[in-house]
Amino acid sequence: MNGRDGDRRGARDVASVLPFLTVVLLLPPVILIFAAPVSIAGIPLIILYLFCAWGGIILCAFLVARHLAHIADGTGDGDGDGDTPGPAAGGRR
Amino acid sequence: MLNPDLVILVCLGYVAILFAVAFAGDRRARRDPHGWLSSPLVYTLSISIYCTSWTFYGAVGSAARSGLEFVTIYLGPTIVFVGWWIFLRKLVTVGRIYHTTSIADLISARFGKDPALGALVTVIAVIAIAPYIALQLKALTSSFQVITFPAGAVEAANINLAPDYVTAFWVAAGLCLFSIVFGVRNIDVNERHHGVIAAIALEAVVKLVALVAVGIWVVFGLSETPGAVFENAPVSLTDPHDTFGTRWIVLCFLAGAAVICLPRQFQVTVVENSSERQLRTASWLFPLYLFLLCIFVTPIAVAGLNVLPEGSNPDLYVVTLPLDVDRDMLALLAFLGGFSSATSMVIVSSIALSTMISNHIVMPLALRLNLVPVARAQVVRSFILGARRASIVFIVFLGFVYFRLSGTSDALAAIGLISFCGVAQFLPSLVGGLFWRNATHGGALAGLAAGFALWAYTLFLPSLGSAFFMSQAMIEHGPWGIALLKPHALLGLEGMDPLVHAVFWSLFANIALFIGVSMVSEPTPLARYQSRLFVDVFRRQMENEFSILRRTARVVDLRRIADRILGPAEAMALFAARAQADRTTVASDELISLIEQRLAANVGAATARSLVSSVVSNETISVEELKRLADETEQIRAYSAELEKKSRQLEETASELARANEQLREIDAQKDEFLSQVSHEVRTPMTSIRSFSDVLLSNPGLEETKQRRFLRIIQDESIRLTRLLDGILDLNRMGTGQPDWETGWIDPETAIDLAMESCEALARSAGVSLERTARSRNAVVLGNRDRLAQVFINLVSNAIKYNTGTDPRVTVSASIRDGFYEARVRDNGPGIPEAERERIFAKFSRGPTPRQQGTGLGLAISRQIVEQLGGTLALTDSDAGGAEFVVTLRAEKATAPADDP
Repeated sequence: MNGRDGDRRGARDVASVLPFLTVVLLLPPVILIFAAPVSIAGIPLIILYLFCAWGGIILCAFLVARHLAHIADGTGDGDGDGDTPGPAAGGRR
Repeated sequence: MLNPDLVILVCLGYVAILFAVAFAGDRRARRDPHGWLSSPLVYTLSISIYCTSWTFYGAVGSAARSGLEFVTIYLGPTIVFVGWWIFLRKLVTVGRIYHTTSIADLISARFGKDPALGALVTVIAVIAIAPYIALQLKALTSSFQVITFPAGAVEAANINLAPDYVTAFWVAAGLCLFSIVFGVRNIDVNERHHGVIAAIALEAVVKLVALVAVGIWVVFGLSETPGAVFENAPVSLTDPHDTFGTRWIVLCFLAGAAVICLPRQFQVTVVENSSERQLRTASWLFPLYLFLLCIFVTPIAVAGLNVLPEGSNPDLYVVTLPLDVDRDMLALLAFLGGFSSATSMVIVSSIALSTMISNHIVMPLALRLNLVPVARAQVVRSFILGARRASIVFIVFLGFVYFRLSGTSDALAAIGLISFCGVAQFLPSLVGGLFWRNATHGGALAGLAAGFALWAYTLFLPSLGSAFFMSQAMIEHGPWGIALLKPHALLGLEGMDPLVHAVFWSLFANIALFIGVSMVSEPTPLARYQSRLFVDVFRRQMENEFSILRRTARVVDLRRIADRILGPAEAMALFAARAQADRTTVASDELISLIEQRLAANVGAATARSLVSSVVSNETISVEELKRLADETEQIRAYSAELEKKSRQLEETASELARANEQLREIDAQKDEFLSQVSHEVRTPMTSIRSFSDVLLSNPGLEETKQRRFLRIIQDESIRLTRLLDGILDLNRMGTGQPDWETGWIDPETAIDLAMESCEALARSAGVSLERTARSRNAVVLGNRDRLAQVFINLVSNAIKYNTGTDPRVTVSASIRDGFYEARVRDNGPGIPEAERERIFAKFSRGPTPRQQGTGLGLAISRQIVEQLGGTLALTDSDAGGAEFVVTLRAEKATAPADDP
């Protein structure tokens, strides 16, 4: 129960922090670091950064949403991230 | 060029498909309300009406003109949706629970179901959105004109074509028809528009596919290698430093605000929402949609700049690029994408705005002026439906008229952001209303009015050009030449981007007045009640909520209203369930609230309230009760915090007790051990005394020498026994803190001398050389010389006894360091292993290889004595490798005369 609660709080914390992370990554001054006249493989660095950061955030949002969905459906413990009987059990003589 | 007939045919075919989808969606939803039409995917696709033709064509145009700035329009919504947990979740939950019909309804309901507030929000929305609709009509007609231009699309995009108003008119008429047929079937807004949503979702897919198809073709077909896409890219892309200034931040903010506040977004995100699951998926899927839409925008823009002749309209690159190399089918797909984005925007916007106009302007006026026909039940419903339909026609044709008037001027180009800024004025009231209990209706009204006025003055009216309201001179020099009132430099705030300037002033005034007026004004009881419902939407509502709002109404009157607005069937169902229980003529508070809720889902909270109020004869809102409830909530929160603190304290106490218990157990075990050790130690000499005295008694004729030897043994053992018992007594006395000796000022060196003397014989017999090295002079400590000597005798004799080295040596030294007297007894024997160091101070513990049997109490007693004198006895590492005991005592620096010389 305790672990589950902590899990839920953790997911909510991440969900609350994510927009602020987005703001930090995609607004000046951080974005100015990448606003240099540099190209990598013919693509301007700023375009690479912008879309990579954006894609990364969407991925995070996806993971958080999936996690929250598991918690909401009450299946958060049963999808393999709990302790499963490992090969150690089979190694017993 | 494309054959106009073919394009029209394709468009009509596409529209036919949309109608079919909407029709099928409506039918399907009626059979299975929770089918795939309520799925998170369809929900997310419907939210993508955010991407209008302004996006579809305009993003590429913006990328060609000013680099990456277009991305902000999609980053803002990304931030809002990724952060759904903080704001959107609450907004959507409030909307779902309280059957909100529009953003005007939500704001007016929150601030005491105030009709004026709802009307103001509606007016602002209509004024901000009508030009936006005009922009869509313009995009539709100009893209149609360009792809069907006889001299070729590229030629067409180069010249300033006169807008084809006839096309625009027919497009507008078609959009009205679609919106009316599928958007206004039922007056219950909460009964979702499944048909429209299904069609919108299809259009969302078409526009994404179209833009991505053009993008992929540009990257992989048009340029020789994908890597060459950004060759000859404009400076704004290769050196983008200037892009990321205040404007970037403001645009992100505006876009984030717009994705919540635009009436059409509110409609699809909040009103059409049916579960949190939908929002959870949209939180990442909608940003992903935007991401995919944006990823090819810059390649298309760069390709357009490189391939098409200079002067081509960048806004139309998406269609002109494929046409330039005779990719007609691709161009047609791109045109359909633009068509989809424009039509879906107009459809949903007109539906959302028509609900607002009919619920917040037409109905309140009709009720006030007694325009609503009362004769037959059915008439009221058709009156409302008629009002909605008329509103749709009004809005779409307002857009058309705006388009007709602004004509070929560039006034429309910037209208997207101007609209965003207009609807962003709702944000303070919306956020404040959901999170700030004390926000009042006056604050919202003042903030909205001021924000709207400043928006209109600094941004909207100047954008219309000199044609309307403001002359060129007025825009440049301020009204009547007053420089402080210049629309683009209000109060002398010069040198700012006009958009940033307007956003700053309008929202600054809006927020300041909202907060300021809220703080000085008192909310009405109803507003207080509503604020409790909205702000605490996630907290479990208490059952006695109904006791706050006490109303009296006759069941017949309520029934009459319900019949008229909800229709006889639903009214029958509602009353059949409740009224049977009590066949009284007076309706219960619960029934009144239920009817009001159902009415609100149809005509908005404010109108529902005035309808119900018209038959309620007596209404009291118990402010005391309300305050008590609020207090209870506060108290419960305080209690739970207090409880949490208490339980933490209890936990700490419990663990402390457990620790103490553990210690007690240990002491108890030590005592037991001590007792058994004492018995064991006493038993050994006793046994030998007994056995030798037995021998003496049973053998009277024993030789004298033997007798004497036995008696000597008995005496020795008795002495040892006495010493042991003395030691135990000593330990016991000191353990209870009552030593039987007195302390005084002594010179510790004398105690060492005494000890050295008495150990000399022992050392000599053991062959150990005893050395005295450093002495301290004038050291004075508080102590007892005999006891201190006892300590040193014990230490020195131990050092002698346990020193089994080849050249055994024991060294005693003393010094004063930092006010402490330190005496060291060091040997060069085998030393004491790390693990043994504490154990040897325990009672009855003896070293591993004793030369001589001891009581095992020596070190324990010595340590007790030193500790009694306020010092320490410890074992440290000796440089020589043997054991080194250190006695540390507090030394008196002052040369107080020692008691004994």
